[in-house]
Amino acid sequence: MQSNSIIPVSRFQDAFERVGWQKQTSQSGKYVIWTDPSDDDTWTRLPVSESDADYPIYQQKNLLILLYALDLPENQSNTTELASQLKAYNYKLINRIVGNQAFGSEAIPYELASVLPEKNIEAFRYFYATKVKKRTLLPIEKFEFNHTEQGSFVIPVSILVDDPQPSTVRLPSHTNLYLHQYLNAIEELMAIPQNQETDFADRVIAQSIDSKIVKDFFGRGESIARYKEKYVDRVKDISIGSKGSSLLDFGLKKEEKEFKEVDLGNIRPLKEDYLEVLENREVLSDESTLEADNVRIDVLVDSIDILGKAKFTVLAIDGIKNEKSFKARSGDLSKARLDKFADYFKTSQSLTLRGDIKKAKGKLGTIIVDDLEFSDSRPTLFDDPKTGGQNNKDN
Amino acid sequence: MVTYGIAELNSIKEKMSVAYLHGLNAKVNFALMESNKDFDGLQIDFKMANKKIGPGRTVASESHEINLQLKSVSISSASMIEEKEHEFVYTLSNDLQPLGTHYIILLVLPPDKDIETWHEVTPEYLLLRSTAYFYLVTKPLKPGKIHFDKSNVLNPVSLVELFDAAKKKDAL
Repeated sequence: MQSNSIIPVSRFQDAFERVGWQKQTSQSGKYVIWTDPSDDDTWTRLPVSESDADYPIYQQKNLLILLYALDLPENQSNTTELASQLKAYNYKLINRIVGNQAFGSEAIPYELASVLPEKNIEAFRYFYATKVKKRTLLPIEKFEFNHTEQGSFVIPVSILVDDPQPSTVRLPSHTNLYLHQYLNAIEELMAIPQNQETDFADRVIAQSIDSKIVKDFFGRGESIARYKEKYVDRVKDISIGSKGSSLLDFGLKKEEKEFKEVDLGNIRPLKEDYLEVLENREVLSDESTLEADNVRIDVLVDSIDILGKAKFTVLAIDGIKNEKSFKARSGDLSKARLDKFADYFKTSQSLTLRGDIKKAKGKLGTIIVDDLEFSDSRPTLFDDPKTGGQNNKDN
Repeated sequence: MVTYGIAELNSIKEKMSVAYLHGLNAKVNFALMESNKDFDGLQIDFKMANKKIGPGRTVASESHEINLQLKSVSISSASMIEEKEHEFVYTLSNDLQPLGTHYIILLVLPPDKDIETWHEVTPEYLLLRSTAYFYLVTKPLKPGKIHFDKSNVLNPVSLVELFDAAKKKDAL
């Protein structure tokens, strides 16, 4: 039950506030005393400074006290998870692969184990960027490969919550809400029959699921479906889900705290033309119009084509979020700029362009890119370090 | 007569103090946890809880937990202990920073020369011929003299009462 590194006092303070314990400063000023609101006889002390010699002892003890306050069983797994939440509040995107026992429990194909979390992250990042009201980072930092049960491999990916709601708010965090919406969307996507191109496209559009996400799951290139099909004999099942943050989700309803697991067991690549039909109908059904010069344009890079153009999803103009994101294509781009866009394509991080934009009803928009103004992506496991950092001016 | 080296003698004294504590605890049946490596340097030998925070949990509220530091000395160790009418004066050799509700438990043994009489094992009973006294540490101590009142005998009744000090959260 050991937590090796020091967790700041402020993190414990925030955690005790979130679980509703009552705060009292000790007479000596050396401790803050936290008391269970339902039992005045149950309390703990928290040294005010991490440098106190007894701090590690109380850190370990207070982890166990918090497990009690959260009504979580006292075990190694919960202690480790709570310590991870105290270091940085996070949700987990869960990727599960169940091997075919006939191949033995260790026979999980590496390619699938790599593509499943990668495409799941890309799709969720894209979903989040197109749904969230203001431009927000989605820091995804931790990537673990866990073998939890015989024949079942679980790859959890941590999504850090940099700006959690105050401890007094008993509402789901943005990350919680968007993870629920995302898993619902993927479940709906999995249920759409693939009998006919236009019918499939119309039903995807009716569910407000973007073609980029369809491509991540069902594409004929790098997609989850492609590698599921490649290893169909070696893999019995795959699924995605999520795990909440015990502290951020404290006090929420059961259905808000628990996330569904979406079965991807029957996933297979779309037939030829399905994606092209979907992309065309997506543009045709888009009724937005716009014309603006010398504006800041927040975009996600959807693709880079061999003709030296890039395709974008436009999220916001001059910092004002679009009612609905739409697709746009650049003019011819220099190789350096294409390379830069390729970096953002790989990481699914949004970036801001400066330039002119024009979009007619039912048409693909066009962007004349004058400048790549700045980026606020930060390096993560899947990032190319070249794209990290603030104020990367590209001239 | 068997003779012992200093290290061996100290080891026996330490085991006597642990046996004394376990013997009393067998009477009151509290949770007694030997300190792990986290407590290195904090001079705590045992944590004792008279009530856990809940079923299936190892942790206790501060109001139900005390920390125990064991000392064991024979009355013949003149440099360590002096007996007076109402107290034992023990010489503390190191700085001491209290942790939580912190007690020093001093086991006073008969003279070293009587080591063969320290315990007595018969088919009917096991006897530890020694008495422990407690001292509540409320502030940091420097090396020097500590006064153990002879009325502070550690027995099953006083062991229960040691937890009264843990209740005083307003005094922290």
